[in-house]
Amino acid sequence: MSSPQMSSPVGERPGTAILVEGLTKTFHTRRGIPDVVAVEDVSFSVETGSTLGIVGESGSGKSTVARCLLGLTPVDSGKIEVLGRDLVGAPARSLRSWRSEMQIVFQEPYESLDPRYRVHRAVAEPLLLHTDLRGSDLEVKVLELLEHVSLQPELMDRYPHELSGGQQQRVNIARALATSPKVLVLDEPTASLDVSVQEGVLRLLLALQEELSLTYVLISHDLTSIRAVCEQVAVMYAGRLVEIGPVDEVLSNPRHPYTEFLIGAELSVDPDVPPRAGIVRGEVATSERPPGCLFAPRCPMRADECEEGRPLFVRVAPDHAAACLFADQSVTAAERSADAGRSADA
Amino acid sequence: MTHPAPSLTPPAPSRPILKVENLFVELARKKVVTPILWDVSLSLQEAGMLGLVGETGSGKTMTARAIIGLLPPGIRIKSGSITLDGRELRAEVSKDSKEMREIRGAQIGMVFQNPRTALYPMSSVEAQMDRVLRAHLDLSRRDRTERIHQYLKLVGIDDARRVARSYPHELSGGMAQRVVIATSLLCEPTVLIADEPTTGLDATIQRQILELIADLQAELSLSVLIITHDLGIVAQYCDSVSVMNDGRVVEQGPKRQVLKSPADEYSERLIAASDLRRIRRAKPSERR
Repeated sequence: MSSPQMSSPVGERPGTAILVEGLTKTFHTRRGIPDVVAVEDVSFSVETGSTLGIVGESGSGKSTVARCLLGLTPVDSGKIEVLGRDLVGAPARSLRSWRSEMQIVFQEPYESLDPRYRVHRAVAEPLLLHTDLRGSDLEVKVLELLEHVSLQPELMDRYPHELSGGQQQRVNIARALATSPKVLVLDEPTASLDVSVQEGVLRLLLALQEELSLTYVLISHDLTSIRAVCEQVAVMYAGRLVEIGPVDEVLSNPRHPYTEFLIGAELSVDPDVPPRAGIVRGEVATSERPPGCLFAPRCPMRADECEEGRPLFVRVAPDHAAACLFADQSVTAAERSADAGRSADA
Repeated sequence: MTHPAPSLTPPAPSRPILKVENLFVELARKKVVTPILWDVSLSLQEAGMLGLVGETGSGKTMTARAIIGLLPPGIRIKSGSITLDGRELRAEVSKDSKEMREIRGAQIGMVFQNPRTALYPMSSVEAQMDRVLRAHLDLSRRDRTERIHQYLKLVGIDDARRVARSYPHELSGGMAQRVVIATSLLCEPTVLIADEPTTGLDATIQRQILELIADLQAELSLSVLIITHDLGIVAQYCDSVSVMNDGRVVEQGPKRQVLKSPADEYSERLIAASDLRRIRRAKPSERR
């Protein structure tokens, strides 16, 4: 069976809000310390009004991708188009004016707020910067935004430290929505919240998307929230994209061994649903970047060919592709690692 | 076939090794007294794994700190009892006696959430593990070094020699947590208290650490009290669970009973919230 091999997993389609091609970003360090390749040759696209989840572990490059999407981190090479505008090489002034249409919500809700600003001022700030609203029009807009994120108007005079984590994150979402953006990048928006609060924030994000036709990129290490809110998911490992496709398909039929192990690490709250077999050995090598597949050193399916070059994407279904030489084979990595004994420890 | 069916080994008659009964803990500042823990009772069976779950501020970490006598200043035990293998610790815990210092580390091992802050940044791994051994056991220098390497290997660190010479900042989070676990087991405690041992670690590394704790528990017949906000850990690794909310234990029992048919309203909500699969975005086709 031959399968089409591609250097890029997805192409441009009508209604594309975000198009990223060959994105690469290296952070240079002091002499003597090797440079850090944060993102290498990443390509994906996001349809208008939909949500792409980017999942990966710490150091996989997902937050760097998020920052590049807003032009907050300059890229080395590659193409980033958001709402039809080419962000790479755009002057800072244009970026600033475009940014009213693309916003970001960060992981740490408290850290992202100015501790000296009351809720009212925090929400009004982007309006003062990006719009002409003043006086009573401004007040009306602030109230409307608070209502949008289900915060009681009484909280307007509170300082961030007087709010719960969930309320703080709602303020951040209200700030992000202030300039009526079309694209919202959500960088681990619920990672530091308790489970019962996470649910509320995720539901809010879904409702807002529906109401305002927003396009989301959700960065997360948590497959549960990815599954709950995304349509497409992209899996990153050591700065590269390893698998991309519809959430249900990728998470129920993973074709890259790393994706498989990532799913295997999930623990069901149902004691009668055991986790998938197989535990990946070792840890991500952060400094060494051999020429072959970067997952190969930890991979139970590794073959000699894997070390010859970065594996190209193999299309396994119309929208589903994985960067593994064995992506179209039926044997799973867990089966391979089960053969090698139940080796849990590195 | 005349062979009788191989009879399953009857479960060892379990007995509680660590018991907390009707524990009240309070914060006394000037004349204001604020209750922190209210009538907390827990029972950790010998060679069992008990999950203590709850959200931020529920009192789970405070319970652990009360057990090992490391309550923050100003917070004290008002009443109740803590027994380790039948021995009442309450008096020792409260005055932080020499006996308590011996129990802590030697009979009760501890693993905290952030492996990087649990390790002392200015000493090599070997130096800090050696300090623990010298405090509790009378061994020659050679025996100590050997034991350190042996325990590093036990937690799955193959190149024990190199890691022993490393400083904490040179270790990855997963490796640092392995070192913390090795250190906590050095003096062969019977009870291990692990406070959020995998929070902050990557998913695949979390799973490695949990498997390690489960393997060690079986191998060393450890009794483990695992404090977590993650009900998945309880479902997959513990045998019983106590749910805390607002300084009280609201429900406890075998994990299947609690997770599948919670009797308490709060535990029910917590379990439901952990299963985010209930929220699903409407498919574009279903939107209209």
